[in-house]
Amino acid sequence: MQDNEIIALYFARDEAAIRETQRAYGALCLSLAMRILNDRSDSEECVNDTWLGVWNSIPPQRPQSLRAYVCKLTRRIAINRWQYNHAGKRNADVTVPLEELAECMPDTSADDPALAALIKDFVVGLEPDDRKLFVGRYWHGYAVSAMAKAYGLTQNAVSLRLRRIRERLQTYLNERGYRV
Amino acid sequence: MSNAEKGLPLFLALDALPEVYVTEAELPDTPAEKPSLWDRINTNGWVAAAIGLVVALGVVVWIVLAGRGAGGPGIAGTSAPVIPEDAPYAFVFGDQTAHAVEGMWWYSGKAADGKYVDADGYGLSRELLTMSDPPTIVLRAEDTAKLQFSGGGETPGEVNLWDAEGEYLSNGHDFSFLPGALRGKSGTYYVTVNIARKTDSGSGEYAEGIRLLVWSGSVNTHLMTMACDGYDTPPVAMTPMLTSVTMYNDRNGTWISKDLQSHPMDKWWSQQESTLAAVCCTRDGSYRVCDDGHRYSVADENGVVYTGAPSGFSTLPAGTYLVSYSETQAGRTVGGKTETATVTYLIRLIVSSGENTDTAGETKPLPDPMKDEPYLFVYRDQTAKPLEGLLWATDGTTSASGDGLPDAVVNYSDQSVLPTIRADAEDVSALQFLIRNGHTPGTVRLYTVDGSRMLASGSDFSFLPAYLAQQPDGGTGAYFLTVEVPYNDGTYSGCMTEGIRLAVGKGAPLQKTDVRIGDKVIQPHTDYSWFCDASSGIIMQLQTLATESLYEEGYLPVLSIGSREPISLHIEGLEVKSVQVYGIDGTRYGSSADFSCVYDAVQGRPGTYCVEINSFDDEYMGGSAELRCAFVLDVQNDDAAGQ
Repeated sequence: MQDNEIIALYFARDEAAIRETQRAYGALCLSLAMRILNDRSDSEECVNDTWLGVWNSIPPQRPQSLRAYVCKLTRRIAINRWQYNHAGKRNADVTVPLEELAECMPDTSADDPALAALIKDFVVGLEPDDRKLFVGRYWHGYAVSAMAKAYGLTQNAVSLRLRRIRERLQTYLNERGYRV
Repeated sequence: MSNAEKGLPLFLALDALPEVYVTEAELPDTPAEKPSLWDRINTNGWVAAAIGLVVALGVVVWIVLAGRGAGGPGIAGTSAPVIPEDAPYAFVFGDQTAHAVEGMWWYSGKAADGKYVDADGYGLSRELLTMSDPPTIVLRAEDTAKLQFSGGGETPGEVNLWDAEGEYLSNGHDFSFLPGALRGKSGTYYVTVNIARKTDSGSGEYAEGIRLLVWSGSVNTHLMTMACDGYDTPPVAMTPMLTSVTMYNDRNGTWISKDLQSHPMDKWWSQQESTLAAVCCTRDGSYRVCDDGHRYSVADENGVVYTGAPSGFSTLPAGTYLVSYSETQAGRTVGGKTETATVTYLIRLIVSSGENTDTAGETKPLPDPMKDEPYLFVYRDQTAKPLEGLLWATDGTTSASGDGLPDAVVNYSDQSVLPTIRADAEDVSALQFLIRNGHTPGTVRLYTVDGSRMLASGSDFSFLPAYLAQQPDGGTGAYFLTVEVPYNDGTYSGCMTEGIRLAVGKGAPLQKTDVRIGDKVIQPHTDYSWFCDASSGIIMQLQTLATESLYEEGYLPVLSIGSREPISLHIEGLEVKSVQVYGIDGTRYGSSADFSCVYDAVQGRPGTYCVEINSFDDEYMGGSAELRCAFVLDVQNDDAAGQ
C-alpha cells in the first residue's frame, strides 16, 4: 500500500492504517530503535508508541513522506527512552555517537533554535558522500562497521571521515559565534 | 552531565533535517546492516573462544546423541531428522533438509569486564539474505507448521519470520504460528530459530535461519478434478503428487526451481503404482481436467506426449498414462513485481477399452456430484461448487488465519478458478446453499468481486434482494458471496467460508433456449462452460457437471414423445454448434452439427436419452458465452401402448 493510501486511512480513522504502517515500516522503525536502545523489548515498545503517536498526529498532520515521519517519531521516542534508561551508564547503543557529537556541542542551551538551523545548513552543505556518513551515524545511529560495509570502505576510513566532518562542524560553529 | 548527554542536543537538532537527506542516508538492508558474527568474533577474541568452545561441545554432544540414534531437540516434529555431522543446525520438511545459516546475535547480559557487549542485530543474517543459493525449503503455507528444526543438542528458542526483503514479519515459540502468519500467501520468506548462548562471560542469543519458498497450495488448487463423460468413473477429485515448484523471486529477479521429486516424467513409470493417485476413464468418454485454462499434458509409457484442448482429451487409446498438470499461482506484489509460483503435479490416468460388459439394460450407479464436494450453491438449474476460504479458529489457542475469503478471490488475477452463479436481479432469492454433512450454515457475506470490501451480510440470502434493489441498475454486476460453515479437523476449530462469484443480471436469458417438438415446448437445463466478462473482457472458465450427473440430480426437464411420433427439434434464438445424444447409461449414440444424430438415435428405439446442445450466446451478460443446453428425451414405445 502506498504512503498516500495509508495516510488516507488515518484520515478516515480506520485502524487498518496502523496495521499497514506496521507492515510497511515496522522493521525499519524497530531496527532504528534497536540501534538507539539496544534492547528488543524496549524497542518494540518504542515502535508501538510510534504507532500511537502517528495515530494521534495524523490528522491534522499530513506528512509528505510517511517513512521519514515514522522514523523521526521513532527516533524521538527512542531517545526519550534512552535518557530514561541510561542516565550515566555506558552501553553499546547510541552512546558512542552521542559522545562523538559532544565534541562539537557549543556552550549553549539545549533547545537553541538558531543552533538547529545552523546544523541543518551545515549538513545540507556537505558533500553527498560525507552527508550520508554524517546523517547515517548521527541521525540513524548506524554502527561504523555497518556503514563501512555498505559503502565499501574500511572502518578506519569511515571513522576518519566522520572525525574530519566533526572538526569542520566545530570550525563552522566557531565562525558563527558559538564557542565549542 | 556525561559526554553522551552533552551530545544529545546536537543529535536532536538533526531532526530539523529535510527528509530527503535522512532517506538518502539509509542503508539498503536496514534490519541486517549489523556486522556478521564472524566480524564480531574477530573483534572480540574472548567471545570467539567462548562460542567456539560451546559450538565444538555442541557438535560433540550432537555426534554422541546421533550415534545413539537420538536427534537433538526439535520444534514441532516427532521424528529426529538425519543431519550431517558438519552441520549441526538444520531445518527439515519431509525429505527436504536445509542446513541453517548462522545469523546475528546479541547479548542480554554483561560481559566479564562488566561492560555490555557491543552486540547488535536481531536475528536475520545478511549472509542469508544475500546468498545466491541459500539453504531453502519449499512447502505449502499450510504445511509450514510441520517444519522441524534440529538444534544440535541445544534448546531452540523463539522462531522469527522475515519477508523476502529481510523485514521482520512475525514470531512465535515454535513453527505453529507460521500458517497463520503467512495466510496462505506464496512468496519468499526467511525463518530463523534463536539459540540461547550462555557462557561465563555473558549470555545472549543468535539465530539459525533458512529461506522458505512458500506456495499457496490452497485447498482447492491442489485437488485435481477429472471427469469422464463415460460412465465408468464419476468426476474424481484427488490429491495429485506435487513434483516441482518454480518460483519467481522478486528480490533478485531470478527464477528458483525446486524439484521436490527428482525424477523426470518418464522415470515415474517405475514407481507409479505406489505413489500416484489414479483415475480410470473409459476410452469412449472424454477426459476433462476441470481446471481448464492451465497447462497440462499426457504421456504414455513410451514417452509419447498427447496434447489436448482445454475441453479434454477424446482420442486417447486404452492404456495407462501420466497426466502432468501445471498451474501458476500469483503471490503478492513487491516493488512492482509479482511473485509467482508454478507448481506441477502428476496423476495416473487409466483408460479402459470402453466396452460395455454389463448386462444390457442394467443401469450403473450414476455419480454423486456432492460426493467429494459437501457444499453446493444452486440457483434454478445452475450449480456451482464453491471455493473454500480460509479458516479462523475459535478455540483461542491458534492464531486466526484470514478473514475467510478464498485466495483466488484475493488474487483476483486468477479469475478462471472462480465458480459462478448467474442470477437474475429480481429473482436472486432463489439462490440456495446445500450442505451435505449436516452442518448449519452461518453468516452470508456479499463482497466486491475482488474481495476487497464487504458490502452487506445476513444470516441467510434474504438480504440480497433488498440490497441489490438499492444499488444502481438494480445491483447488476459481479460480486463475491460467501457462506460460513463450521469447521473442526481436530487441530483447528472455527469457521470455514465457502464462496462463489455471483453475477447479477436483468431478465431471464434462459427464455430463448426453449426447445420445441411440434407443439411441445420445454426449457432445457442451461449452463455455460465459459463466458467472457462484459466489463473486463476476461474469459472465465466455469465448472459444469456432466450431463449424466445433471440427469441423476433431476435437473434435466423431460420431453416425452412416442416412438412413432414424427420428430423435429427446434431451439429458439440460438445458433446450434453441436448436438450429442447419450443413453442414460452413458453410452454415446452420436453427435452432429445439428439434430440429425438425435433423429438417427431415437427413431423407432424406445428408451430414455439425454440430449446435449452446444451453442454460443453472444448476448449473455453483455458479453459472449458458450452455452450448453440439455434435456431428457423420453421415447415411449408406441407399439407396446397399442397392444
